[in-house]
Amino acid sequence: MIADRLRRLAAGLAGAFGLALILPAAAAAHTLNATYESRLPLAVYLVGAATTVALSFAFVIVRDVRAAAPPATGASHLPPAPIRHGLRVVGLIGWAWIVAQGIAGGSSDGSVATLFLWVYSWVGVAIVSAVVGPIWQFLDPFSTLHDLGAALFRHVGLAGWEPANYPERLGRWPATIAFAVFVWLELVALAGPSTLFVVLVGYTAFTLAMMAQFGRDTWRSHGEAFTAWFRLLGRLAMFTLVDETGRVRRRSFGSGILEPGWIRADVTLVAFGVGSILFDGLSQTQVFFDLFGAPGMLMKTVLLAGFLGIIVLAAFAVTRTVGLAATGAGLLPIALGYLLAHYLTYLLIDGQRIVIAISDPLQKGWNLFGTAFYVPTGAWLPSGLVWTLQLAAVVGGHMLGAWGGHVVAAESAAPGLGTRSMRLLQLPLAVVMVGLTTLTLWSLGQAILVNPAS
Amino acid sequence: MSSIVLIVRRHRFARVVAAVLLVLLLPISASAHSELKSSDPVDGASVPSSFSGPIVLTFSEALADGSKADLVGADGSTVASATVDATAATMTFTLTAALAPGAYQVKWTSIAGDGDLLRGIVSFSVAAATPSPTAEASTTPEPSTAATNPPSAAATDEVATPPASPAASTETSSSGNGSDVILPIVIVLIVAAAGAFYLVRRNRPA
Repeated sequence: MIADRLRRLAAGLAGAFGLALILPAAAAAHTLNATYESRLPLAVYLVGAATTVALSFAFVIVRDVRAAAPPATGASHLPPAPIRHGLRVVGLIGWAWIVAQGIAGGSSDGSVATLFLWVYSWVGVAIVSAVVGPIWQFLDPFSTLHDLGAALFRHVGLAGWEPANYPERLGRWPATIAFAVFVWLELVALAGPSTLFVVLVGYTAFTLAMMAQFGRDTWRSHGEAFTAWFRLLGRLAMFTLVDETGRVRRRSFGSGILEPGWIRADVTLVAFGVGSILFDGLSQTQVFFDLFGAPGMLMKTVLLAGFLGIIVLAAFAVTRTVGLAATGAGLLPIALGYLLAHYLTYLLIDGQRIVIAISDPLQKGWNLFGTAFYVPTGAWLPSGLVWTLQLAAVVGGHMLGAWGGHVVAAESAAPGLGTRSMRLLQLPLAVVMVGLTTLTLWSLGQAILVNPAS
Repeated sequence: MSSIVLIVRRHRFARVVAAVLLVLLLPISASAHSELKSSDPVDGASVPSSFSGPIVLTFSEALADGSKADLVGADGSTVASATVDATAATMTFTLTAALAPGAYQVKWTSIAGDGDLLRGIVSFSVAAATPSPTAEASTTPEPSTAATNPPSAAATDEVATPPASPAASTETSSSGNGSDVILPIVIVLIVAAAGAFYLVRRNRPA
């Protein structure tokens, strides 16, 4: 019975991904931005990467690799005060700078709205949160503004009221939905500085209102998109957040994905994260252009929603066999791998625009430090190294996901389940992994890899 | 848990949410840039020693207050500042004497009516007074990165969408050689081996 269901599911998934893989093969000759000539054709890289992921999955399944979640107790400590307060000041200055530029109007290469929100937060903070620890806990300007407001009101003698009970049925869905809105702003609306200013002010007002309504920490952990996303990525990090005061505890990198507590909204959020990065890569390929041209906002919204829907559906199809926690544990490392593969260069190159911004902080044509004419450059980044890092990030993320998915699936498997059944149950997860590996590497390869001219 | 005393009562909650959503749904404003249409001399040009201007930059849209351009010599000193004709969308350097031989940059800043700001550099060089074929060759300028990549509306807007690769900035393609091919494979194998080693160790009974 189970085997039949699994075969049908696996066949469906394999068919879907097979279809997706045929498309790249048909158009591998097209490149949008050819920068790296490799002796090996892209197909060799794809086959190698897919095989590596498949073999790593086979290895952990056949060997039935097990591991324990990191202990939930142990020594914890607050990061040093200069770091905590420094990050808070940096977060607040960043927020105030965006607002000041928004009020002053205009746009330029020194726009800090796009720089801070898309480059430093969406990419930089996400990577640090996933690798090191919960820096957003202190950087978060919304919480800092809340605390400053609360202190101000207390100072003038105004008392607060008891926060309302948060509707449990909402779970973390508000944060997941808000995350999807930000994804749309980034990938479809292509929100520039003026739009981002309006969004930031509106989102700040909304967040502060919700914090007042339900309590700062409750809304932060359930409804604030950045916090929810960065904390989810933080399951991978070497330092885990112990409580809302910011205490952290050391643990092995990646071990946090084995911890319990996965909920549907979390898996959806990770699927959105993985799907949005993948969509961003695919939408810049020649195949996408050939199929859809340069779609307008409505069409691109439909495409994005459809693509994210497919990824979420695939994720929940997998949850039916291995469970919610194993799916989350399998997908989260992939999200980090994709972040690094797709956006690390964006962070390293476009992040240099801060040099322009400090010379002209309000976009008035100033050149305070003589750096306003600086042009960000990636000339120091060898494209061969970039491709290698992308390859390692994608394959490494999938391998870690294979390990985490299997370990959690094995731990949460029904007692008495036979070895063969347990292996079959994990097959859909493996198929999704291999398909995603190939698809994302293909999209990355379109932008950077070309075969040498014959 | 303390909470900010904002005047948000339960029955006003829906209105607050609606107001915020309305703000978020505001139409995305289109931005306009005043881009450099042409320059005289053109970027990368080598002009004769007798060149005494004028230097003219022409832009695509009317220029707002704050638009400016400076002529900067090889030593970084400002040689002259342009006169801006806002309606004609031009910046003009009227030189009183011939420029000394050497490399020059025109660093311009245009501000459009809606405040959108662009910067760019036009590079040119003035040949030596008694040019010879050899001397002329040696004064051929190398266009600066900024000059070959003038900021544009597209460049500014691209910021909103992270590129999937550094292709936009990494302009030169690097050819593959033996090590280029081997390196990715070796790294992938090392990652695979490290992962396998780690998992085997974790799986080994204590």
